[in-house]
Formats: sequence, structure tokens, C-alpha cells
Amino acid sequence: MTAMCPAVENNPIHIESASRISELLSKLFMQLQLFGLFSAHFQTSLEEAVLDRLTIRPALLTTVATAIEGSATLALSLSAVPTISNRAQWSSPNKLGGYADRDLTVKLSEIIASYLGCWQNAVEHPDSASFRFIRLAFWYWREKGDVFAALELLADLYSAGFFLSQNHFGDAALTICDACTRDFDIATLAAQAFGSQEADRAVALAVDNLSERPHSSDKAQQLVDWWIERAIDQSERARAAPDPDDWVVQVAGLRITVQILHSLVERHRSYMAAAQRAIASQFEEVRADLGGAALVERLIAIEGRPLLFRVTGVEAVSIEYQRILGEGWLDKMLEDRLLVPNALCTNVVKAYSGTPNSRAREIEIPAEWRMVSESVAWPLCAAFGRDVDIECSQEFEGDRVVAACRKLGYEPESDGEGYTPNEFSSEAQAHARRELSVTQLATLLRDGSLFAEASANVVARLEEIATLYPWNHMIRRELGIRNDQSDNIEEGFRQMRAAVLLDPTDAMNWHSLSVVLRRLGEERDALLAAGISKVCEGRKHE
Amino acid sequence: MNKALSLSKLVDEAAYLQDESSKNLSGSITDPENFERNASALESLHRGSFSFIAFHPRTDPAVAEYIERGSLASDSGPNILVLFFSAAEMRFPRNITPNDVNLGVTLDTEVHPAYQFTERLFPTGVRPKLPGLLFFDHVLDANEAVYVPILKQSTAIEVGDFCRSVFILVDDVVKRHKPWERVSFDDLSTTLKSKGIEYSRTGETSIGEWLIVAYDFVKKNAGTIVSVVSKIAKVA
Repeated sequence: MTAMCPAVENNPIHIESASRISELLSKLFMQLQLFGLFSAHFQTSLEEAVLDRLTIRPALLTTVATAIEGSATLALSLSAVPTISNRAQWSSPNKLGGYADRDLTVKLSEIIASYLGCWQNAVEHPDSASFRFIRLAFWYWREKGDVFAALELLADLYSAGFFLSQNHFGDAALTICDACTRDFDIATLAAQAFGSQEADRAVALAVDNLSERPHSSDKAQQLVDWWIERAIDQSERARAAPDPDDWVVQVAGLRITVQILHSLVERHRSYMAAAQRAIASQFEEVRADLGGAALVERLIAIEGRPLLFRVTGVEAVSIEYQRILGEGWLDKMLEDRLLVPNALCTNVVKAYSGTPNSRAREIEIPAEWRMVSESVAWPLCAAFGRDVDIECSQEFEGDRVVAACRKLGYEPESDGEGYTPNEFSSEAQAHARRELSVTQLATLLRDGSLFAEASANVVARLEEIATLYPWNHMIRRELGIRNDQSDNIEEGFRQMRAAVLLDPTDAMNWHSLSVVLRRLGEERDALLAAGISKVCEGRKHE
Repeated sequence: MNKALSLSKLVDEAAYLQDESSKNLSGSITDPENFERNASALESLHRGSFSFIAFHPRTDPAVAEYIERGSLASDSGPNILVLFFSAAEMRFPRNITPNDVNLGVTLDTEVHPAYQFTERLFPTGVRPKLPGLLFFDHVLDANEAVYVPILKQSTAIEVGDFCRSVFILVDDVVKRHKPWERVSFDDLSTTLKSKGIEYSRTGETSIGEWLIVAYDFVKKNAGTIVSVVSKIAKVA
């Protein structure tokens, strides 16, 4: 089983003799995937305006990909990226999807077009958005002769961000699950030319007729087994996450698996084996934990509070564990539930050690876990409709938020005394925090000496600002330039890379990157970066 | 790679599932002292046979390998809940590692818990040939058990072939009877005999008591009883 998760897979894009640009383009492509995954995971709005948050990123990536694909001197290849066809722009019209490289020959530009097609369809026609995936799954089932291969492709497409909504995935996956448990004979679609209207009618008819057939207990058990195995594997990967980037991605993939498992248990409880029911029951708790954590994150995002890594649910769950299990409760809770990654378990243990009545102190989050990295920052912000450049890593004090709300003309929603931010609407709080963040950043950047040529402590001051605004591409670029000028070239590259990942549409970021790459002796990468810089310039003038 | 889950967690979940209308924040956790009481819930949930694999990790490496990464999970199927002594508690289902099947690796066969407890089921003076598979259908009440020694198989593949053939027979016996009838050991014995598979019957014994003593024993020795998560073979 290959549960594909974009942030932890090897780089999917390879350009011969240009490893640094390959890695960067891979990460930029993964950011698009993660935009889709996070939108579904956090169940953000499906309004049409959602796609505006993508800015010109997809178009830019398409232009770059098309230029490289058309080049006589550059060879771009893709690893096994799951994809679905966009029949308007697809060089293998007879294939509805699968895995690039493994199943089909497909260009990066075509895959990006498929993403945009699927997302556009999801926001414009939410009621029928799942059908293209159902059609693909039946086709893939027929091609591979294996319904589980089709389910795996669907699940991998979800992890790769093709679905903007959990409901759309649920529709597609549960339809195929139903076809499996109701012993649908895939051979009845053997003669269909998939992609034609006639085939679409045949698929729709097959789906409509499914409810007339009884479930097979053997198939129901096999199906539940398959989802349980996927959930166990994904749980192990989530627990083993080495950083917040991986954690947030793995958890998003696991959550949809346990959602489907939950639906299947509801349908097939009477057919399930004892161990299956027991394990599914355990995953019920995981489903609740992950769902709760996603909801908290969404509320935080709506209120404009910092997008920090948070440990959610430990304190609430701990009360019963302590009461029932007594000594040793903490280890058991950490093993039973998926509240924290293994890397942070010692921090949770530390928070509880030596405290009176076993109440936790605040769980100390190590600096490297405080926020996701520049690779994941943009998709997280884009899914929530936040501006990555002004994301502050520190919470503003309550009275400052209240004062800002009032200054912006908002009135508290309750007439309680001693106003707190929570007494203002989420919209008011978000607006106030945004204003506070912009003002603070502007004040920090207005320091005239910050960009002066000769200033020994400029790097240190820029680093301080970067700690407060780690996702601001201009600060990261400036840090890159300063480090490069100080002959700290690798650090210069690291900062420049971050700037590009935070805003690849800024020509200056690519230009500065090309300078650093040249100093690193990466001529081919440098040439490509300079070329992409020109593409960005050109787009700016369009 | 096979997966497993601790028996105590399985028992907790079984008890929790008895009243599906009631859910709480802490999930299924119960006081470990309630293991015996909750074990009856497992019996209600699992209407097939239980099987215990008695092996010593040093002297029976082929059996250990079969448990860890052989076809055990798909061989046993949903009607047979396979248990073994593990060196690590697995409160959450996960892959079995070589370390998990290593409980008591330094112990002599005379005192190894798996060997010792299998022998406890037989009348004084009767020493079963080990390693082997023990089949029983009650986890609490006194009942019979059937023991099938694994005698001639020296590799994990051979152990797998043999165990699979035994599991198929047990599964057939389970399926021949109504869910509430439990396993007929007369039927099972006849079936094993007709296939020329060596076996022995323990006589009436309290498997439940045995399990609880075994559970406490391995717990004191930093281990636990775990159940293999069965893998239902895919049908195209």
C-alpha cells in the first residue's frame, strides 16, 4: 500500500542536472497539492473566491513547466504522482488517470490543468463534483481488475489535494465501497468507452442500481480490513512525524481514512469480525481527536490568531485517564490516542511531572515545532484565506485586540464587563489582529538602518524580525542577500529558497536565488532561476 | 508485516462496544482490575475460536518469524482470534516487530511462560510437544481445549503451510455450527484426526483462569498477551 502524502514523498519533479531547482519546483507543486488537502481537511469555504487565493501561482508553474517541457536541452520527469485526467488538456485521452510514470505519460503542465479543472468544478458544481472521480475509479477498477487499486487511487488523490471537500471524497469513495460490497460485476462495463457520454450514463446507471443488491458479508469484511490497515499505517506515520509539516499532512490523510471507516462501520457493523469492531472503535476516538483538532485550528484561523502548532485535547482527555488508570495513565493515553507526535511525547510527560493533582503545566513546544516551515506555510494560509506575509508568530495581548476592534468601529457582541477579544465577532478579531500585525511589521521595517549597506548587526536584527514574521518573503530574501554578502552562502541559499517558497511570483526572489546559486557553483540551477525570474517579470507586465 | 493489538485493549473495546449508545471522552479505557469482568464481553463479540500460539523465541525461530511477518494474519481469518505472548504492550494496533516476539528469549524452555502455561492445561505428568497451537472457545468458563503441536516444520514458510491447513479446518468447524453453539471440540478432533493431524485434548479446564494467570504473569515480566489483527484475503 502506498498512501501518498505530498510533503513526505521524495521530490516528484526531476530536471536533469538541476537538483536545487528540481527540489524547489517539487515543493511549489506540493504546495498546490497541500492547498487542496488543507481546504478539505479544515473544511474551509467552497465559494468561488477560494480559487483567487491561488493568485498566479498555478499559471506561473504552468508557464515554467511548459517552457522546460518544450526545451531541447532540459529533461523534466515526474515520479508516481496520482492524477486524474482533464480531458480538455491531456496527451493520453484514453486514460482517465492513475499514477504519472507508473501508469501513464503525462506532463506536469497537464497535471496542473487537472487540478484547476477539478477545483473549478468543485466550487461551481459541488453537487456533481464527485462524479468525475467515481468515473475514474470504475475505469481504474476495470483496467487493474482490482477494486482496491481504485480505492487506493482515490485516497491518494485526496492526499494529493484533488478534492476540495471531504464530502466529495466521501461520495466517491463510499460509492466504490458500495459497489464492492454489493458484488458489482465490473465486467458489465468492459465494453464501455470511458469518457463518452454513453459510458457516463452506464456508470450513473450502475451507481443507481447498486442499492437493489444486498451486501456481501465477505466483501464488507475485506473492505473494512483494507481501510483499517490503511488507518494503522497512516497512524504509525503520523506518530513518527519528525516535524510539524509532516504531522499536519499525515494527520489530514489519516482523518479522511477514519471518516470513511466510521461510515463503513455504520453500514456493516453486523458483518464485522470482533477484532475489526474493536479496532474500528479505537479509531472512533482518533476520529474525534483529529476532528476536534481541525475544528480548533479553523476557529483560530477565523479569529486571525497565529497559526502556531498546538497540542489539542490532551488536558481534556487526561482527566478520565488519570481517574481510571491511576499510575502509568500518561503513557497509556499517549499510546491509545493520536493527540501528539512521538517527538513531543517527552514534552507532554514533562508538563505533567511533579505537578499537584496531576494538572498539566503548559506543554512546552520546541522552537522547531512552533510553526510549519516555509514549505507548508503558503498552502495553510491560502486554505484559511490568510496573508502569509503578515503572519505573526506571537499572539497580541487581549486588551490590544479589544482596543483595535473598537478603533476599527466594531462593537462587542455581549455587554459583559472587562471586554476580551472573544466578546467581539470572529470577523472583528481577525480584522483587528491583521491591523496590529501590519502596523507592527511596518514599524519594524521602517527602521532606516535596517537596509543600510554597512551595519554589523543588521543580520541579527533581521533574524529577530524573521522570528516574529517567519513567513515574510521580503525579510527572508533580505536575510539571504545579507548572508550571501557575508560569504555565508549556504545560509544565504536557505533563506533565498524560503523566500521563493513563500512567494514564487516575485521576480526578485528568483533573481536573488540565481545569484546565490551561481556563487554555489550550480550553474544550471542558476540559469533556470534567472529564467524563471524573467517569466515572473513578464507576468508582472501582462 | 503482521499487526497486533493487546488482549487487554481488545477486552476494553469489547466491553465498551456492549453499549454503543454510550460514548465518553476517554473512549474504552477501564480499570485493568476489570479485565476478568470485561473478558465476557469479548466472548460476546467474538463468536468463533480463540487460538494461542505457544512458542519459544530462541528454540522456535520459525514460529516467531511466521508471527512477525509470515502469512499468519491472513491464514487465521476473522473466525479465529490468535493470541501470543508479546514483549511489548500494544494498546494501539501496530506492526509486529522482532522485539515483540522476543519475550523470554533468554529463559530456559522449562520456565518460559508460553511453554509453562501450555503445560499447565494438561493433567500432571502429561507434557505436550511444543511449539504448538491451542484452540479454545471460552475465555472465562471451564471448558475443553484442543492442542495441535507444530512438529516437523523448520522454516517460517513450512510453519505457515501447516498452520494454514489447521486454521482452515478450525474455520470449517466454526462455520458448520450456529454462532451461539460455540466450537464443537468433538467435531474438531474428528476433523483433525481424519486429516492425520496430531492433536491432544486437554480435558475440562478453566481457560479463563489460565488466561488471567498468564496475563498477570507476563505483565510482571514486562510483556503481555496480544491478538493478531487478522487480514481478510482479498477476493477479486
